[in-house]
Amino acid sequence: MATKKVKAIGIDLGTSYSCVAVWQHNRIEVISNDQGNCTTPSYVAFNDNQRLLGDSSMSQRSMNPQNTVVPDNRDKPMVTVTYKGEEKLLAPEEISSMVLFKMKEVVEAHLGHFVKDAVITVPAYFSNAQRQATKDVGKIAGLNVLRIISEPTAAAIAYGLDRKGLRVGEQNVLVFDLGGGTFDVSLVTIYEGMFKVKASVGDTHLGGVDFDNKLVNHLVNVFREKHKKDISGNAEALVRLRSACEKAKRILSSTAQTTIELDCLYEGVDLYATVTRALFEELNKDLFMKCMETVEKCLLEARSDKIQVHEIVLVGGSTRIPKVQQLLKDMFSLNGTTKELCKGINPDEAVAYGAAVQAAILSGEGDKKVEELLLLDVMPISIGFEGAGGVMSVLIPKNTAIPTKKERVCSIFYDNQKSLTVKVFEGEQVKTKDNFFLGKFILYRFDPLPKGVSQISVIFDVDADGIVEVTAEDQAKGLKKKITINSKHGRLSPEEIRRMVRDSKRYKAEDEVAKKKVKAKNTLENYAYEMRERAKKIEEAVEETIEWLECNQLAEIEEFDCKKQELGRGKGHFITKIHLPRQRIKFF
Amino acid sequence: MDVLSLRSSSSLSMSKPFESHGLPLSSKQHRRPSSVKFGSVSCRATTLTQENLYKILSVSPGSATMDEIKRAYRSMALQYHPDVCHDPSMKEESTRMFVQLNAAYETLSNPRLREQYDSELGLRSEVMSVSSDHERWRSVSVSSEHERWESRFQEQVIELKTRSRRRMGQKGGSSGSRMRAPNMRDRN
Repeated sequence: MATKKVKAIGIDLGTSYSCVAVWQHNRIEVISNDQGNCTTPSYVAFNDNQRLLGDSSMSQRSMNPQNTVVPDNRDKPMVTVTYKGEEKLLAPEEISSMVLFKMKEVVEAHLGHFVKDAVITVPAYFSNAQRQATKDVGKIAGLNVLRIISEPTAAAIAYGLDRKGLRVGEQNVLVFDLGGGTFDVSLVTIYEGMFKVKASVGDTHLGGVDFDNKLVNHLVNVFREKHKKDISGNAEALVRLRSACEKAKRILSSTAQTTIELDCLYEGVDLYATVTRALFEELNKDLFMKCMETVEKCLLEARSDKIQVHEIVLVGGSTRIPKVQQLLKDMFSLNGTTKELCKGINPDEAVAYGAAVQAAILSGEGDKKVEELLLLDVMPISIGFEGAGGVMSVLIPKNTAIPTKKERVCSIFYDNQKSLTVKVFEGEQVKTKDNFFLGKFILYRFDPLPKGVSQISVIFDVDADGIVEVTAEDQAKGLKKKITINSKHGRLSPEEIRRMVRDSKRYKAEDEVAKKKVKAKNTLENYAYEMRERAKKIEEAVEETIEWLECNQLAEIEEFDCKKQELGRGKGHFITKIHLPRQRIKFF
Repeated sequence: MDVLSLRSSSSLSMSKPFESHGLPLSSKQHRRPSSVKFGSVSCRATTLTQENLYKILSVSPGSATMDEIKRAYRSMALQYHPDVCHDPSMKEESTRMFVQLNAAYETLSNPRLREQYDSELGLRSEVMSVSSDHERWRSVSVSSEHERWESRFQEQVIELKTRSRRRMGQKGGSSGSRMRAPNMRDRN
């Protein structure tokens, strides 16, 4: 469409909550959902009648725990749910695509037109395969994924754009991203609108969910000791308890103490517990220290000292935990100077905000502010090939800016070797067997030569999307072979993706039918109440007339006629109204 | 199972200088421009790479400050990064140019690498000096000029070998996972 540019949106696809933003009215707007919330639960629920997305899936979680699911990108298990009386087996990608679909709907409802292009964020530690898988998820949800970017990078963009006016040269920003299920720390350099990731370190099993679990486990133990009953095997009780613990955690961010009261939690027994902030901090002490160790590791990897960090940006709901903020502040307070954390950025919205900026850059919309911005993304994990003895030969180290191209000249290993296998690996371990295999190819038909004589060039080419292309070339003979790394391991096949796209459309159609049912039911219910009101008014008028008659038996003829007209006028009015609704009923 | 063994490009260049000593520099450049690869440290490639790194960033070789290099990098990145190139037909060229820009910046923004690179730039002057001596040799005493040239050349060869060994040592130290050519040779 030449006349109208279709908007590209930014989506923060989170483990617990997701958020969507778009460039609009010369700025980034974070879009609220149909409940007025800027973040939408990353939950999907199934029941006998319909599929539920967003807030509605969350609100019925306690009553329907077995069929309320959340994408698990950490361990990627298949999930079984009961939907319309049938058992369904769902892949994590399918569940994630439903969350993305919901976010797509949220923004379309706001903009009033369809959207297609999107930038989606992922945790910084996500591998090549996981990023490709996220693109698949977008495709299943009906989106064209322009780019996958790391959450900390997106957050740094949000910070940088917000502070762009303060151009004080190079700024080192530490992005502390503690969400529901993932934890990332990144050091990003911002230099006059250019964002470059210097280092990024993550923990795949650390987040708000883990803090909640510590409290859940504690209360399970308390309940067992007090009532001699073990609720750890009861799904419904656990869901209620976990939900209450999550609420308590949030409350404890702003108060020192709260209570958890759950009536009839298990076998008729109530749970009543007072939880203090101190208790919560004690239970999670080890996890909080683990967060700080990751920060140290990030600085080490970036070869930076704490003194060189200009700003600390908090991302993710769990950064609101006072103890976490205190530990961070203490870590960076040097020589008696107290380091203040940047609180101008909303932790829940920063990532979606940054993704929307990148979306605006890539789609060519936006204004001067966006035109002067550029994101330099980096390789999240080192890649290389297998050398002699199974050693990992890194060609593109972690945190290398992309796009990039690296070459190395190698030699054959055996006398008169006739072919060469190039095996590509991803990972940080010294031995390839401890790293992740990405792909391989074989170069054939060498001239017979003694070992160490023939020269083979191995070239790794990574484009701006992080797609890896590996080429091997026999310089003497001009032989060339290349492979594009499409990590197959753990990824969906094209057939599976097509099936899921079809399933997605069917779910959407069924959702719409369910919506129409609900709407029709509501319409009928409203109409019935309205009719009851009208009937009540008619009855009142009739009663009033009869009452008058009983008191006015000896009235004159004129009076009787007048009263009749009065009642008739009212009756006619009601009858006229009744006729129209009756026609509507037939139409309905 | 077929496996790769590694050798640094720099060790390959040991034999090249002998081949090139009889040829003018301009002729070399004209003959094989496509052989230039970023990161290569062979004599032939170095000659062209030296010019290209500073030219790529459009800064002057000797006097450019770190700020100038950063500013140049930023303004050129905003021109060449594929993300700001919205013409699909230019995407590939844009990516290629950005890769070169990045490679140049990688070297020049690192004080140690830049110093090393500038030393190699100095080597180019020496090579030209050798050519100059060669010219002068034709018109002056044959034996003494030739002797002096050969002596200087030997020094350069030794310098290259030393640098190559130091670089391999550094690579091994920094990554811990990269193969070292000498070890491979021994194992073979």
